[in-house]
Amino acid sequence: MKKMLSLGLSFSMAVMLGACGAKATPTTTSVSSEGGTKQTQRETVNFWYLWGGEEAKIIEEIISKYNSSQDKYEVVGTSTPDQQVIITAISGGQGPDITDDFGGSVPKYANENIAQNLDEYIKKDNVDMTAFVDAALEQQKYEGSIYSLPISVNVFALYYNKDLLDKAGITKTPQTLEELMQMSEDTTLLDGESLTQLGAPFVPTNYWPNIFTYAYGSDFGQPSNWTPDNEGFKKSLEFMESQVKKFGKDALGNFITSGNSNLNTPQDPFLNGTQVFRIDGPWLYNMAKDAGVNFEMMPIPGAENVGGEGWSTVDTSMLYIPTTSAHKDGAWDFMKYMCMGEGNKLFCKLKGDLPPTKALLEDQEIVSLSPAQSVFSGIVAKNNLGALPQSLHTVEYSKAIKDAVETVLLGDSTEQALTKMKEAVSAIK
Amino acid sequence: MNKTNRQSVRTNLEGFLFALPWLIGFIIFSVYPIFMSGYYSFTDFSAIKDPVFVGLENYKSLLKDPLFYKSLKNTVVYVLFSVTMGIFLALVIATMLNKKWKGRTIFRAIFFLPSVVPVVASTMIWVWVFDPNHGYLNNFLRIFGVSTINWLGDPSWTMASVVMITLWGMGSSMVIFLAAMQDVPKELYEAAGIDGAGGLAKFFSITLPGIAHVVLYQVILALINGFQYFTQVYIIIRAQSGNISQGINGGPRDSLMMYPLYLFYNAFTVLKMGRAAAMSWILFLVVSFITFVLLKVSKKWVMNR
Repeated sequence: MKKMLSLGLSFSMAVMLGACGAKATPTTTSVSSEGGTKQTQRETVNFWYLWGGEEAKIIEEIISKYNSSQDKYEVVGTSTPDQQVIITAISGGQGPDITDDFGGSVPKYANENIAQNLDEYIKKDNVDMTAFVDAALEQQKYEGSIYSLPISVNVFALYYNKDLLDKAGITKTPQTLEELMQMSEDTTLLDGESLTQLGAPFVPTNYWPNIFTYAYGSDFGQPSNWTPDNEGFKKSLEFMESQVKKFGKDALGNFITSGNSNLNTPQDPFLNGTQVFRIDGPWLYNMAKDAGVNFEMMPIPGAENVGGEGWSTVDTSMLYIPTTSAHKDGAWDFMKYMCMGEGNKLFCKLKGDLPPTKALLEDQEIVSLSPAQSVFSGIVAKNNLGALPQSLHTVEYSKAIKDAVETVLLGDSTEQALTKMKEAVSAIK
Repeated sequence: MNKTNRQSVRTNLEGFLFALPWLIGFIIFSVYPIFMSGYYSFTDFSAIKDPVFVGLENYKSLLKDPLFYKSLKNTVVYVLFSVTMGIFLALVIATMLNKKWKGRTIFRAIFFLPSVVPVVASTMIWVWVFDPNHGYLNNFLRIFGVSTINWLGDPSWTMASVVMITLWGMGSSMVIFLAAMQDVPKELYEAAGIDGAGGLAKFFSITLPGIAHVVLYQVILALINGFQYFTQVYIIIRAQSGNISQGINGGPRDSLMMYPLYLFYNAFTVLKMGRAAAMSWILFLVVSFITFVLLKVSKKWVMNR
């Protein structure tokens, strides 16, 4: 009996300890040279990425190109479409040598010592960081240091329904933000208590307030100095307040709630032809085309006293090296290939993403991929881009901004919304 | 030790050995996390860096946080309405379906069906039903001249909407009540009938006391589920923001910020695991207290069987 018991306990402990001690991958790989005669020892670099399905195939194709472009490192890709899994593996010391995420995560990962500080690597290789679009690079920084490199950028354009503008007798596109707001108001149609057509780009609710703020020449401050009540955001809220007063909070609220919950479906107001102006990303292009909408895209114009065009928020997808990586040099070499070199061009060409470097944004092979690509590349190149200050509390700050927009839509005045917002922001820590 | 005792020890040890894999799993996956969450609630912990002991800081900061109170209030209001109305409705329908009439089996199936629909799918359907412009509910109400209601976008209607979703899924309680009612001895009804008791008198004097223990069990279960109400509001809020928002918010004026949703927000959106652990312990204490009071009070109306 004793024997049985001790065997049982030993087995259980062995299983547990075995699971804890398992190593993820070997550190070197033997690779035959082209002629098949010479064996070279390559350092294995594990790359876990969030992309899956067809996109994962593209990533594997790029990895394969990288592996055949040099004989020092062998990158092994693994599709891991779950951030939580990657972070848990890193915190347990079993993570990849390099992985991807979004620019907004940089402060958190830098502060938690998840992402490797890249300053030394950049200095050692004398990398020209001015090659990157400024706003895209800014997202990779935390407290003045760089922790990741952008692999692609995401910006927004103004889509407009040509048929609805024609119907309203509007023959030219808005040249300023004020003209856009006036046209939005003029093309909003109220039938009794319901809106039958929305002029303003209030659907989706998430994009327009920040972009309007930047187009007014304002921003939401720096990590150490937030400016929630900046002039641009105040004017953006005042615009929404004026529309709420003119068309009624119920009519506008019903339309926006319905629009938001039906985004990218046949009931999406832009796709079913009941929204005139829409601020959205490149993904809407094919959907609107398939839905048969007669539309065009243009960069978002600035306010009269600001000028310029192509105002937008910017998000980035990025690569970072976990601090636990055992092959940081190889990871850094692969990172440069993916974010700045031929690999990035291939990535953007195959995936249809916007490149983060100024040179590739003007590359004809990239620009000519689709009509949408040229508009969005142009917006990135104009560099009138903004983002919320990179801090550990960006998510809370973002919630306070969304709440302020929502309360104006529910009938509060701009002043009331800003007062509540300032209180909420001052309580964040 | 005599032979019988040795046999008994051997039997116990064998039993223990067979239960050992489960016990190890229970200790690793239940007991250990419970104790660790208690420890984490006294630390500044992000789940990545090592926790730093901060004493009662997490509890103190929660007591100063207006959103903590708002989420607690929302949850209590939700529990109050969903539990009372849910139990009442389930009892009424079970009573009706307990009578002998043609087609009752079909209705039993109809009322039970919603509880087997996966919660994500059913919530998405409800988001569609509640759509202010295209939704079936408003289209139906317009026939009677009712103005458009923004069910999930107007803070004065959001709570009613989520309670409605819960009531739609009360089929499982109804089936349990029905089973309990069929367990009540028929002789009691016959005797009451001979004494001239009517339907209502039979229900309050025989049926309800006869199934009181099941009602108590259902109330406690609904209460615990109510305080853990998360999936539906999470899906609604994601859908309302077009599934594109980073993190989550609490719906219009935070009217859908339920306690578990705020706990999730602290744990996984802003990575304040210590604070989230403190919230989970507060929730545990609240639910334990209410359950304790219910059990005490129930002694007056639940017969021991």
